[in-house]
Amino acid sequence: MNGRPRIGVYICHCGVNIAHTVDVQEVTDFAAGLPDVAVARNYSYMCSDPGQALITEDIKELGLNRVVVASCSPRMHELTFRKALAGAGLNPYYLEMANIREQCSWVHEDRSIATSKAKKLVASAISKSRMLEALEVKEVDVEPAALIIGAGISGIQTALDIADAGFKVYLVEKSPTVGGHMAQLDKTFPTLDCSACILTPKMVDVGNHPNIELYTYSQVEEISGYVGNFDVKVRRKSRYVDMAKCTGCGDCAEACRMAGRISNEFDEGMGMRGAIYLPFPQAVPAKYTIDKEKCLFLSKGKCGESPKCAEACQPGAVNFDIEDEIIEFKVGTIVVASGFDVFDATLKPEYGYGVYDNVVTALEFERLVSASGPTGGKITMLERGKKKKKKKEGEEEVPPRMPESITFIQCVGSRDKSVGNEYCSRVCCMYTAKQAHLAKDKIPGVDVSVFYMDVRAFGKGFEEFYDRVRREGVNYIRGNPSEIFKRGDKLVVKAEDTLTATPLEHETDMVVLAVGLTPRSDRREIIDMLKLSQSPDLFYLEAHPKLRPVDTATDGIYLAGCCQAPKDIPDAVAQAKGAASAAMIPMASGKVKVEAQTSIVNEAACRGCGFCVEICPFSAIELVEVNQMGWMREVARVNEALCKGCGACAAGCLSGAIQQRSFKDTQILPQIIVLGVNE
Amino acid sequence: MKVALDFKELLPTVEETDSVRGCFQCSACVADCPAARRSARFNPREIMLKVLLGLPESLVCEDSAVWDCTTCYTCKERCPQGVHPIEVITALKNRIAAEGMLPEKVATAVEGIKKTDRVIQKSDAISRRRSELGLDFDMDTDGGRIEGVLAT
Repeated sequence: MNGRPRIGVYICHCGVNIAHTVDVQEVTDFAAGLPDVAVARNYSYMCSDPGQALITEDIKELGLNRVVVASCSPRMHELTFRKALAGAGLNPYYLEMANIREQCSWVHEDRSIATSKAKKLVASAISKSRMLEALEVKEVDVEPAALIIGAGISGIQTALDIADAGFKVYLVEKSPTVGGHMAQLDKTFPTLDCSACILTPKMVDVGNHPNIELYTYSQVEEISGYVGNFDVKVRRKSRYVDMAKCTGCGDCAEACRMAGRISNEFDEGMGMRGAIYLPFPQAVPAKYTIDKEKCLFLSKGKCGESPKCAEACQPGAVNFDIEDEIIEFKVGTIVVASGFDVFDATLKPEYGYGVYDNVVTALEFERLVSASGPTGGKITMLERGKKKKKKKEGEEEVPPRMPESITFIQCVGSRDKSVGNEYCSRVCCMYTAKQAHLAKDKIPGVDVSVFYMDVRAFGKGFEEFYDRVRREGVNYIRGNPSEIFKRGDKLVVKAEDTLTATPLEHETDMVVLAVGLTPRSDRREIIDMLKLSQSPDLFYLEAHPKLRPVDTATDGIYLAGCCQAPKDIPDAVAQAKGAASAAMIPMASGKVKVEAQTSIVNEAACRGCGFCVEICPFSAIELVEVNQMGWMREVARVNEALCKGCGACAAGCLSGAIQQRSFKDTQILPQIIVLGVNE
Repeated sequence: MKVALDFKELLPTVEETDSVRGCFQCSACVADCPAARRSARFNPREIMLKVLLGLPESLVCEDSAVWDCTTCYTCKERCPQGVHPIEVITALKNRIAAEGMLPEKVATAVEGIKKTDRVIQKSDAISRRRSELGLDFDMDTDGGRIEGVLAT
């Protein structure tokens, strides 16, 4: 840059956000009097088109070479103003912002004090701007492929959209089949669409799509790199079944000595499977898996004379020698769609889940109602943990009776600070209404009651559905029950009807707990790999709650579905489509810009202690050996493509050998000194 | 019924009751409340509601229902909002005392504690029971120690 700095200072009113508390004219006059300031102006909205035009015209006409904007947080509009500078032919890194909104006008009430603080912040920014340097924005190529973690409805939809657009997709799912929780559901609210009927075609599509590489029963083990160039390592756990040979006929499962003796996760532990199994008939891929913990041959080393599954398998697919396989590939973008856990109802011991057989969770009830469930869709009273008595000759089996009354309890594990879940799970009101309807539909004359605190029927068609269910004769009682106990063969729900202020003991045959959605218990695996943040509710945190709902703080990594927050199927699909399109932007453009405000190491001052290597949250620094005038010694080196410019290394460096561009000591010290001077 | 704005503003400022505005009237406090089972006029949810609305008439009075509370703390355990109805009830009892509206039985108990430093007062039945258990027979104290503590 030639000659002295010529600084333009622009003070934003932000409507009344700033101007109400800060005397913008006084700040402008003050700035105009500071050394090197060529022009100082104020305007109602600097971020608007005419506001930006003020800057670009001044750069051209007055030959400005530094721009200071005093407005909101740089998080909000730094990019906007950088673009304005670039548009006028000035290097965008000659911009400095003073935050006189969040850090001044919003937090102060006294106008004169706020105005004098705003002056200091502006003077401080001007002081730093003199020392700014031009930086070069580099671009890197983007691998035209995406990794999707999790193959529930969100992951499936994301994968299909990206694959349909012509990009390669690697879809990785932990369990043996795709489908997630949606596959467990019977009907979906409020339209009562059959969940399987609308989901299974999509499951088949991801299995067959030429652009989708599907890895089920697999886990992402390692991810390194940065947007455009992630290196991924996936472990394909051994199914002990040759995927190429298995036809999915099921002869092995029938032959298995453990058949019908292991509780089936898909049926929430209410149905039974063998050690070799297919989670459910429509599973994709339709390939059998051996549960190595439960398989007699794999866990005990002996299964009779020889494993029966292997004998029964005609194509010879069962193979106990198959080992885990590690697969490595490169992708440009990553979408996390890892889903949720269902709230553990034993954390509310007053409801007696796990104590009383007929206190069930909503997901268990879903399996009871489902035609593919353990009772074939019949809602029957449960006898859990009891072994089935062997039938005596000629004895007729007494079918389990249907409940005469069913009681639903809402907000179990949601809106409840005593279990640490302050949030509303968004789906329980409506799935309860749906299950109440299904109960009425399947059991003639059944008495159905719902205990609720508030009914939230906010979505399209929700209120109409809630109204329909009430008209069908479901009793809605406003009150949060505090205990469930047993009296004779009835369950008793202790509650108060708050609308009539009557304490009541409500007798019922079956209680369904409308359990909420919680963050996955294994969420840390992905957090550690991808450096994701969590919101206070422990779901993954999006980059901005309104304007960047599918992005994360890390470029190239996106979120879809319930891993971000509880949501219903339409919202999950909408977010999945959003995440797919966001992930395709860098892939379609083929190039991404990398951070320019990276760290640089002064190798002469670096003592090679490696402290920065430990500090760096993005693994962007490594120690390398250099020859310094005949001495071989280790120094730190920054990989600029990986560096996010967080500045942790610069602050932590014990020798002052690391500096961050735009935040060098020579730049921030003048900024701080001005703040320290009292007028 | 008259809304007392000062009453409405007071409770949220008392220690341990500052989250009173978080109450969403779910009634988890009512169903397990032993006092609400026995006493038709005692309902912790309604007490919270009256506090929220600023209706002290039936709460801060000579015949207040708050004295029916057994101080069992079940409401505190059940409350999903961390609102602690029991602390609100205790604050109400203090307010009643401050206004000089203690029921006679409570006032007598308070006087007894002040006089003897004991929660359980001397009586023939108590003395008999103590001697059966081989406990120190003499329950007399000089008194005044509780008052001394309160004075500081």
